[in-house]
Amino acid sequence: MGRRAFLHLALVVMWLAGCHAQHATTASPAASIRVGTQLAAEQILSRTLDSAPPLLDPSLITDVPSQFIMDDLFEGLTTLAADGRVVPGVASRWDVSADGLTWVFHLRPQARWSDGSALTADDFVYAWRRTVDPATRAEDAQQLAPILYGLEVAKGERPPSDLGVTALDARTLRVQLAAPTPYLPQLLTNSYLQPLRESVIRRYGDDWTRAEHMLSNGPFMLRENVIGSRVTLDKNPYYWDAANVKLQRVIYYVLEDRSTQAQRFLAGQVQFIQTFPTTDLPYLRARLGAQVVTAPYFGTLGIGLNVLRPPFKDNRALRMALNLAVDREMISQHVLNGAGFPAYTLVPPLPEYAPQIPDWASLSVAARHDLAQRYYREAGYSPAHPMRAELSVSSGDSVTTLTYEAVIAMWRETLGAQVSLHQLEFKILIQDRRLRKPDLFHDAWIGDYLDPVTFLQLRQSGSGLNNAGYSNPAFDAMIDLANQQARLSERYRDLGDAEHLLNDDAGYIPVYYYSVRHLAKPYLKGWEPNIVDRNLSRYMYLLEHEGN
Amino acid sequence: MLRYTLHRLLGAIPTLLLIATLAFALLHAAPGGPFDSEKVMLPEIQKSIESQYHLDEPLWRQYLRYLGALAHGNLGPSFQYRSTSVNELIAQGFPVDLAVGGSAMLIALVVGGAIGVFAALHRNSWWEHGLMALAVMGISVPVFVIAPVLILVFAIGLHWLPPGDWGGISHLILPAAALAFPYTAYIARLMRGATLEVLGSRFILTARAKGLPLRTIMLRHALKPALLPLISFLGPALAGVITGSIVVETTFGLPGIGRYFTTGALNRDYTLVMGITILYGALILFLNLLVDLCYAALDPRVRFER
Repeated sequence: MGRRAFLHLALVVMWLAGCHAQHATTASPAASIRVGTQLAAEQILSRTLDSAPPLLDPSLITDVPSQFIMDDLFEGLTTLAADGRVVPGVASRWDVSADGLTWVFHLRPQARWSDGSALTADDFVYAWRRTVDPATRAEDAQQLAPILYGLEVAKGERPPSDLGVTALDARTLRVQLAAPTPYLPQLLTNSYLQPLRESVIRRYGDDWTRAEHMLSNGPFMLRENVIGSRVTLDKNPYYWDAANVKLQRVIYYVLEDRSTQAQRFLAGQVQFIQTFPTTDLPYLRARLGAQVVTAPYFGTLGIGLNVLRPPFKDNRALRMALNLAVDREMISQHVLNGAGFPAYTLVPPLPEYAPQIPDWASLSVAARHDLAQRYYREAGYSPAHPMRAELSVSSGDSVTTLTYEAVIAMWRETLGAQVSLHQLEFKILIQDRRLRKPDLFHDAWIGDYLDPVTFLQLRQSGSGLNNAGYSNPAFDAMIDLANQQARLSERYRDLGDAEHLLNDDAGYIPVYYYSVRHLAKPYLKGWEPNIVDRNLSRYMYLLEHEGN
Repeated sequence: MLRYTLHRLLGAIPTLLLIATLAFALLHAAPGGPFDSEKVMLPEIQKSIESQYHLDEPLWRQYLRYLGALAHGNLGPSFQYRSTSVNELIAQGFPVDLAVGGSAMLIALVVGGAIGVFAALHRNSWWEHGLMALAVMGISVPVFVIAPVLILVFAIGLHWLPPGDWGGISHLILPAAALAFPYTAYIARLMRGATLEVLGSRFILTARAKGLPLRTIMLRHALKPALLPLISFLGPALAGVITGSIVVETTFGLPGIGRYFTTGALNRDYTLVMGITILYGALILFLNLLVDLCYAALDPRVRFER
């Protein structure tokens, strides 16, 4: 085994060690606090958010910071453990039919709302119908497509009452699916499937999300939301697992500037920060040591190629040449300071899913470059007759720009290709991509749920996310086949085949996998970095400590 | 004077209308809309959201609709913060900007004014050269450098003051100081020049010849005319300090409206950006009026002719 192959294997093993199987256990991680551990007298946690949650309505939110708040305020049928695994939430257990199409969830009798009233299966029925009802105007309505008639209701072709969700009794919920969805428990943790109390929303309308009106069912309840500044949550005494929730209060500070988040941490004002710039990593490591935590994230940054017109149309050799000429290790180490992991395939490492790393990834850099040059010549280009193209990227983030500049330099040095960087405002970039204007473009994705399809849809025919115009009937067929499989292993096998095909065709140029980057005080316990980067305050607690 | 003020206030209306029209045209000319996102939305839902905000109507109708609401003081719903109105966002954020901007201007006036007068009185001394060199530095170093340095020293190093957030007086000091820095320097230079000029004028010479003590000359005779150039600087400066605090807001995480302005523009939050633009426009017009009124109060040569 070559050194490089060994590295890949080590990387994958490391990754898998960081993640766990999705199947549920009921243990509450906070319950495992050792006897004799001295907790701090004041259990108030201050943490940060990247941007202001625009509104606190579980059906309507689409942004990441809002999801963090929802993770603390509400709880779905399932929820996440500290390590990111899916664990039972409001539902203590569930039964799945043999065809994988009918799921029956049994709700905990202790589940309550923050006013002490009982939570029932009807609260889920109401919430799901509300999310998918076109009148609600939820941007994520189509995420309910796996549920029977979800798509038809969202399109207004059927009434919300047709949605495949039924309260069999107050504590039993039946969910019928349109197709087998082995990753359903993971979907159920998302805000748009969390329960809502109908009477409150009917009474207060849009104002129900204000602190004085909101009812929530999670470990915390809303105390105050100062838009653009901070969101404060208090412990919900009626939460079914309240005995194991140690924090009395959580304050989320909104800080768009990531360096500012690190400054707040250094000044001792916050104990946990959501992220910091990769450029600050060496400085923070030197200063804070083990308080700096980085780990893989379920997201890929890469380059899309417009295959609807020259030079990339029907030109696999050219696409392969560009793909092979990118030195991912170099970018990971020198542009990202190690926070970011070399990506050779679209789907980031995922527990139980075999990574589809192409064979050439185990070659030495020199051998890859030789191969790249061969492909480049085969495509009809040479230093005298170079390929010319434009790479459209978003101007928002300096590290991303630096990455693309490095890639362009690699293409120029290895192949002699002349690619120019075209920086655009993000809104303009997404419009241009959709209109298929750029030859090459920034094509990054963060998985919506833990399943390869969330990434593979980027190259599926007819997908709104397929900005490359890529269309491969064999690839589509394999995904369709996978979508019919009730067993996860079979689903993953078919999806792996589809991804393998995409790699062979060089339909996407992956560059790196994103990382989660936190700063956490040594006395903050009960959290772990995880692949979905959702760290529920429910499990966190503060040990007795001196100073900040 | 009342007539003059009324006249100026009425004159501000067409100016504001022009500002609103230009802002509307420019915002809608920018590619991409408020509900365009990387994710795909069902076309049915997208259409429904757009019709909720009347984005499906012809532009001229949207424009008239906006002006109609504006005439009633309604700045519309924010697109980005879907359940909050622009009026609410401004009502919540603007006091923060006023507090930070006002304090910064106060610091700049007191410190800058004192330095300027002191330098003028110690002309050609090492004091003057040193202070003016500092002032040039103050003008040239940008706020995005000063603000983190202040945090590094006073919040992270010495733990004297909080590194940000909003609450009591202690939260106000660092942002106000950071914002005051360039203005202090500018005012110091302005004050020094004006004081020197006044000190060289004949009426001061007369006062000196009469044997008045320096204190009396400065406070009773020199200060008032020396303030005139400062007043004309102060109008735009005050507007600048209130509207230009975006960097300070971001660095200190203050809930002011400057941050809404930038994120609003990037997210194509039309109503939010329009609302803030109009507010800023009105603020500048108002402060200019105030400067003119102050001028008249301080300078006997200025009279309200119209």
